[in-house]
Amino acid sequence: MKWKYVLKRLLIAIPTFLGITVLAYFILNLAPGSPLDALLADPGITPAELERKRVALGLDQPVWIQYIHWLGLLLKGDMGFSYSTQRPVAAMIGERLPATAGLAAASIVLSLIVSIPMGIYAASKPNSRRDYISGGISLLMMATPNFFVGLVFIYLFAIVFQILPSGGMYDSAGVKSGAALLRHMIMPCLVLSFQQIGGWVRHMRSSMLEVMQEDYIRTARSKGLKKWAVIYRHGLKNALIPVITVVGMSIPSLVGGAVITEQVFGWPGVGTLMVTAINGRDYPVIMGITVMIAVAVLLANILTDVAYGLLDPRISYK
Amino acid sequence: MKKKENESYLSEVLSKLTEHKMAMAGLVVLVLEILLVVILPIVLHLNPYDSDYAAFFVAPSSAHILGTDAIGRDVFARLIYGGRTSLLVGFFSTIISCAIGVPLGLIAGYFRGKAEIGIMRVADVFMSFPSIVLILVLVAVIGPSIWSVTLVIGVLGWTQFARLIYANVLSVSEKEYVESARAIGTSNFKIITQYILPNSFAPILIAITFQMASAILMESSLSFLGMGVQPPGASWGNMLYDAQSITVLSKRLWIWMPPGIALLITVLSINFLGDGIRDALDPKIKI
Repeated sequence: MKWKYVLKRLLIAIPTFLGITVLAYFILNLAPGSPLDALLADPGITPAELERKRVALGLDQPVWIQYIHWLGLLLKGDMGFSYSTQRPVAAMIGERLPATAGLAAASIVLSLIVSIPMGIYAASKPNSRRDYISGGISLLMMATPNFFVGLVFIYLFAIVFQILPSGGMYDSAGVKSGAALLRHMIMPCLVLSFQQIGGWVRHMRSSMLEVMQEDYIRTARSKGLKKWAVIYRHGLKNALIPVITVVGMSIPSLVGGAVITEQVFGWPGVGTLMVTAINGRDYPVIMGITVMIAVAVLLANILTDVAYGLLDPRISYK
Repeated sequence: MKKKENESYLSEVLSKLTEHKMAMAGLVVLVLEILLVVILPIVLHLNPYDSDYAAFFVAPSSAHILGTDAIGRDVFARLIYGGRTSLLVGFFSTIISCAIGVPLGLIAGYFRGKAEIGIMRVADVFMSFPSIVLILVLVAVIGPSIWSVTLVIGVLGWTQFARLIYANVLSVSEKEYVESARAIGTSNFKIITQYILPNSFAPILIAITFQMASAILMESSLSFLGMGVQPPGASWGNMLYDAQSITVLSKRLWIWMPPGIALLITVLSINFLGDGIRDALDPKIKI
């Protein structure tokens, strides 16, 4: 009854989702600034006009009514209109989403490609020189702030060697070529993966070490199989299962990293939209992005649990 | 008897820690750094705030060993004061996280039931968020300053502590000495403070190091986005903010390289120390 398990996971996610919306909504309502501030700057505006705008935006209602009203619209897919551009928030996010999702997906793939072999390599000879060196490198990667890596990369590859563009997504706004996109994506993707790879290598290593102590590995060894054959055929398959959880758990920090990385490279994604919205006190946009991130994280958690259950038959669907 | 056991455990941990070369290197670097940011401003009369109007964007020289920034402030002085900022934010925010997270983790793990569900569910809500997004929003609401940044990072850091302590208390509560204490009618408060808390020492210490490293990274990220420590206050993050201009990035390396490297060395040292402490206390704990 696997679908029942999936359904149950979805139901458990509902209170968490509501908790997130409440938390974000009430934090934003503590803000001293009001969306009417921009109108107040206009000397020609009359008090009556201001009041009409206030009612139109629903700002005359108590906070909890505003919240329920907002939540009701949200469930219908209506995120309201941006205070600054007057455009629908859902459309604004929709435009930016592919850029961020693409960057995040590329970063996950790159991180897996690098960290799995590195973790195996470190675990193949625990406490050896190679283990210490790879451990040191991964700690170094985890310690490096991504905006600093980003600046160093721009300095090296865009300014000194001039082989990669320093920012943006395409060479010119009108022309959308795949090759240009790829070139623009290399640096942001590397930077977004940097800290992540450091963490994943450590997880892969410890997962591999744990698996290599299992009885079936000893059996495979005693059959006279070569060391690397044992590692790849018997160890890797089982060591990869916990890594799925790690990938799932990395989604929040990946999104957080995207906010900074996009800012450094001027990548036109949800992260730059978020920073612009925060600076401009554009509450509907901030709320919309917050909810979108929460939903993405919750879905990632559910997917992780389900994938884990499918791959590890020892987990029962209770 | 009990005391002697504790001593031998402590000396074993210490000897393991001193054998860990990278952890010792990290400790030495951190101690040196603390000494530098405390002593140098007094000894050298550093001034990170005043502009030298005759010297904008001056390259490193004998008058300004790391040059000056866009409005003629001494980069070396700002680097040292930026170090003060980082260490202060890291230290105080971690104390706040610890003060909130440890009691909540103890309560959730010891009393179970409703307290467990309530506390851990709220922790789930907090953790399913990219912390930088929540922190950005909160700092934008309170208004960015060194104290609001410390407070927000500290308050939102409680989940790390609660989660680790909670998991540890679950296993400690099953131990025979806790059961026997319960059997002879020891009060819950006494059991928690005398048996559970001392045995949660390892995860607390480990969480402290990792939280401090991530708090320092978080402060610099916020300042880099312009939402952290505000000029004229000095922070490594807001020194790097200037490098978002391509001329500073390409031609004035003295402005942004030193704070970036200082940040990297600090966080790396804390991570190495944390790693060493974890290995010495309990290699099985995973972070």
